[in-house]
Amino acid sequence: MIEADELTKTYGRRRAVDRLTFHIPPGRVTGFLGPNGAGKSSTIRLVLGLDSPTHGRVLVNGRPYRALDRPLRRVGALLDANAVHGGRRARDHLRWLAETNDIPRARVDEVLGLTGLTEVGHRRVGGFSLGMKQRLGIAAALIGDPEILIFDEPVNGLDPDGVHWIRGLIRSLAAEGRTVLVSSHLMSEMQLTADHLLILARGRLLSDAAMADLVRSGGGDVLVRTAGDSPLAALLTAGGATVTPESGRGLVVTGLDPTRIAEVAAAHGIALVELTPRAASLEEVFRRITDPELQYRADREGTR
Amino acid sequence: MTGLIAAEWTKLRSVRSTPLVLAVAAVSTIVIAVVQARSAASAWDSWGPRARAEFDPVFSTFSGFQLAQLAFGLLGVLAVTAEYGTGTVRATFAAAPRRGRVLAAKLLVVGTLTLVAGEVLAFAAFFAGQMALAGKHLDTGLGDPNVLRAVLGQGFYVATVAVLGAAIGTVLRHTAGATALTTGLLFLAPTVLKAFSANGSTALTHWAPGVAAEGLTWTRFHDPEWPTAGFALLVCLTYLAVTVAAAAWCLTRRDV
Repeated sequence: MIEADELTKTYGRRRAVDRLTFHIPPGRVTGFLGPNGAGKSSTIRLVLGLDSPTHGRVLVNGRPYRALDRPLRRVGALLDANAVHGGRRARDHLRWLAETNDIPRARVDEVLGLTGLTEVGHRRVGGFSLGMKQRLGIAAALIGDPEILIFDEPVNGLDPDGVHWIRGLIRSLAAEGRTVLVSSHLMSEMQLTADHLLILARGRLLSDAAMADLVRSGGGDVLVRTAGDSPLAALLTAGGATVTPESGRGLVVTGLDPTRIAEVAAAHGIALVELTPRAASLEEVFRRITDPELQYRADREGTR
Repeated sequence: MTGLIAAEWTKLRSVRSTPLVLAVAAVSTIVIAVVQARSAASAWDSWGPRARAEFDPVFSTFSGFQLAQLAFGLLGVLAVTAEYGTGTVRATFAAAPRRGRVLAAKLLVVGTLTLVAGEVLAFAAFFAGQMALAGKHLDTGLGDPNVLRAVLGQGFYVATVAVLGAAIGTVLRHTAGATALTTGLLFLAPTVLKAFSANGSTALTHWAPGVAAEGLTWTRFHDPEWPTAGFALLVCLTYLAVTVAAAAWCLTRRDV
């Protein structure tokens, strides 16, 4: 469980994190979504006690991070996969981490195995690909078998196999009842992994909602195709829908649900060859939430 | 705390720069001790009385430590700034948020390793040098006045420089800046302090670390420009106290 209350961080004159209040419960994947510079990484540094908040606070299991005894046994974090000394062997990197928190040395081999790095554990990290460094960063996050996991942009630089592996890992960690926070600027990736989304822009929390609700709120539309030329478009418009023609006798309908569209078609003897309800993509929802007008207003409030 | 010490030891021994820097220090001190002892032994007969009076069998063969102190300083600087340079420091402080303890563990490990290495090199250079001087019977023994203090003092001095480097590295957080400041302190401080001194006064110059090293390592010949061994020790301890306090102050107050 991670709780932030009015969390604020100012670097110089720039307010990177602006009065964030949220709580991240265990057992689900919470996504931290926002464009680059939205304040995701700054917030994570505040959670980990690396930076001190200018105002407000953030608690991990009810305590400030810096008050945790052996924090790696409670919280594991992947911040920047490249933040390792290139001259050090992978096993030694994990070994010193384990030693800081009195974690048994056998755990080093376990996490090397979990992340598929057993064969390269003796190699110096400087020769690793970004994907291998990403795996090493995840091994480091798992070293204390923590109940809270934080992954900052975990799929960056991974090949498709790696992306698939990490998605599965994140889902399974949450399924085990752990608290999982994943940040990303990739909306498609979030849609596949997160159950709940915190959407950030310019340091402010714009949305705190379940993924399903968020996608549903986007509305979506219905794609309809008829067998031949038909007056369906006019009929649906008369029925209150907005209709946009698409190639191949297709109609994109908003404002009427599929049942109603089917009824209208049946009543006029029009044969349908396709009737597909389409959910709004997260990308559309995201763009709407973070639209420039909203940001402009937010800015004005922020400087008032 | 034992876990933090173990971790700092693992960090220090698992990078190549540590053995490399110690190897450079070993070669420069021992080789230079032998070369200087041999050249003194072969030139002895041609020296006048003044040169003979100023010859110190320990001090005169320990010039290699002026080079080695750079290696030791760099070892201390890198033990800290390599973490900032690579970003490992964020993992360090996420794993151990009590930063004062991390600093204490790191300085303890750097200090212990360099003290052991410094003493080993000091004794090795001493015996190698005296062996080369023995042909002319110019050598001295550990039982002679000031000799044991000079050898132990030389090892202590290079360890001081290493801890100084680590503390400066903690304050500045950049390898280049910390190396420049440490080197400047070692080599330029006597010149700068002399410029500010009244004619013939040693009140300021005795506070230069390099001059303190001379005060620690003389045996037979004592230049009036050098401090006493006791004062030199005080100078070393003052530098350690001030820089370590500054490092702790910066580390606990700044964002990582």
